[in-house]
Amino acid sequence: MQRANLDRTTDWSREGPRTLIVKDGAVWMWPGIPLAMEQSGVVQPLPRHWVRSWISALHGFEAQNTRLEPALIRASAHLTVGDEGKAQRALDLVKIERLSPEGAVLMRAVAEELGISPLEMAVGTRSLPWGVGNLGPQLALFRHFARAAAEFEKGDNPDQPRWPKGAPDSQGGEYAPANGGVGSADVAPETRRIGGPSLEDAREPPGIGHNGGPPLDDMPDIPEEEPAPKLVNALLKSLATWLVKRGVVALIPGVGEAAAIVQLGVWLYQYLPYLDAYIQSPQSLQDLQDAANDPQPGYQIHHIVEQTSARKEGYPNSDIEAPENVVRISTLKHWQISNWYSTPNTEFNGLSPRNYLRGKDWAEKVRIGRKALIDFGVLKP
Amino acid sequence: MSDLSPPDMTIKELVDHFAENGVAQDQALLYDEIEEFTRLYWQMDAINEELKSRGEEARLALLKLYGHPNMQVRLAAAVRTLAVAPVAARHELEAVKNSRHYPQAGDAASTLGSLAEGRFKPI
Repeated sequence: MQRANLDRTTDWSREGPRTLIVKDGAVWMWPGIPLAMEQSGVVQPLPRHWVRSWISALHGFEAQNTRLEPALIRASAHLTVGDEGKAQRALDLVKIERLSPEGAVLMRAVAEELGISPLEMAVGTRSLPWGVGNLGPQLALFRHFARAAAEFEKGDNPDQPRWPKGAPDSQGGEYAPANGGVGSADVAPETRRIGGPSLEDAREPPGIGHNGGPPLDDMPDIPEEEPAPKLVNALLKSLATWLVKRGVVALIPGVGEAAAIVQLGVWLYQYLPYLDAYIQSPQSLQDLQDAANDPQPGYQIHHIVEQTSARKEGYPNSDIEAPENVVRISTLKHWQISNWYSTPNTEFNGLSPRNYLRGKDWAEKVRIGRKALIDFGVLKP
Repeated sequence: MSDLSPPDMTIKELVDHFAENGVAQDQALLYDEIEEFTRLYWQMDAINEELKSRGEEARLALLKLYGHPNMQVRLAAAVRTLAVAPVAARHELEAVKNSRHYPQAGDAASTLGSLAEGRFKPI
């Protein structure tokens, strides 16, 4: 029976609480999430959105300081040549010393769930936008690292197999033979494989890689700083299209695609309601009309018969603002439908729908207006 | 983009120019540039008229743009070929509609609806 060769120079709590540690030639984050791993003989940081997602989940956006990514690169370089000490010192310079308020709640929940110790770390005052109301989805993401977390908790080599708890002959928790051996046949193969998540797991951000979603390669480019309004609008449209193509039906701040988007551009957090509104399923006319009395971020009031054209043609305000003519729809969809009304269309012999409708009766305006809502995925057919 | 006017272009050049304009239209929609979109629409219309004047085979050249990476190009090519390749063009419009890539999916759905109702008769 072979004992693991422990390297106790690295520990979550040595010389004060650490969230980033070096172990077994890789960089890990509490409780056992890989942030840099060996690939083809070279240690490399995992994708930026992966790193940012996990760091901000516990430590808030303020932890995404300018030192983090360079430190990961330097640590990776030291690990590539086998110098774990220098790698750890590079990570320690990042000085992630606080949990966000939500991160502290999450850490306690993760620790309790996984049966491990939380870090004794100060709690900051700035909040992370995922909010404690979304603790459940966050906790579910951390569960994927239960095995690695358990090994870190013991301070042992994560690669060394152990007997599972409850194994026969009081062997639970003891090391299993590295290459099988006496008793190993009694243990199911999946319970004998103990260790951290695979690199394949790590290539996806939390919430995406574990739900069978495609990779994020086709995500529109997101600038770190908020650009001019015109570019913001264009980016929101592109992101909305990307989300629909991925089959996303809801955005939970801090989880999955929402996390990936905000990690790349924190400024986009304020616009998540616009994206969430855009990806909602079509609704009944009654629901859209009822919602008009309930203004929400990400939505605008839309007139089925366009108000400006109707006024120009002398229709009374009582018709234009009548409850049956007013609906609440996604702001981004509103923009798209407005553009459709404004642009020449072969279907209308080169006229824009707005010009086609000029002088038409109210019923035809309603027909086109409702059809547009159906065609753009807002109203149920 | 070619400096030639449509009558001076080969069929291949016309098709390429049509596709370039379609991509530019997509950008115009993205940035809410309605005037630019409209200008490009009439340029594409002129290209289509030139292809029409060269016979059915020339008109069918736009079928090459079915499946183009840009959804606006696919939409424009499908709409402009409905009269000469109705089955294939409707199939392409269905694909654009089902992609849920808006606004093109909405435009395709609108065109298909009007075709089904007999309100739109392509020429």
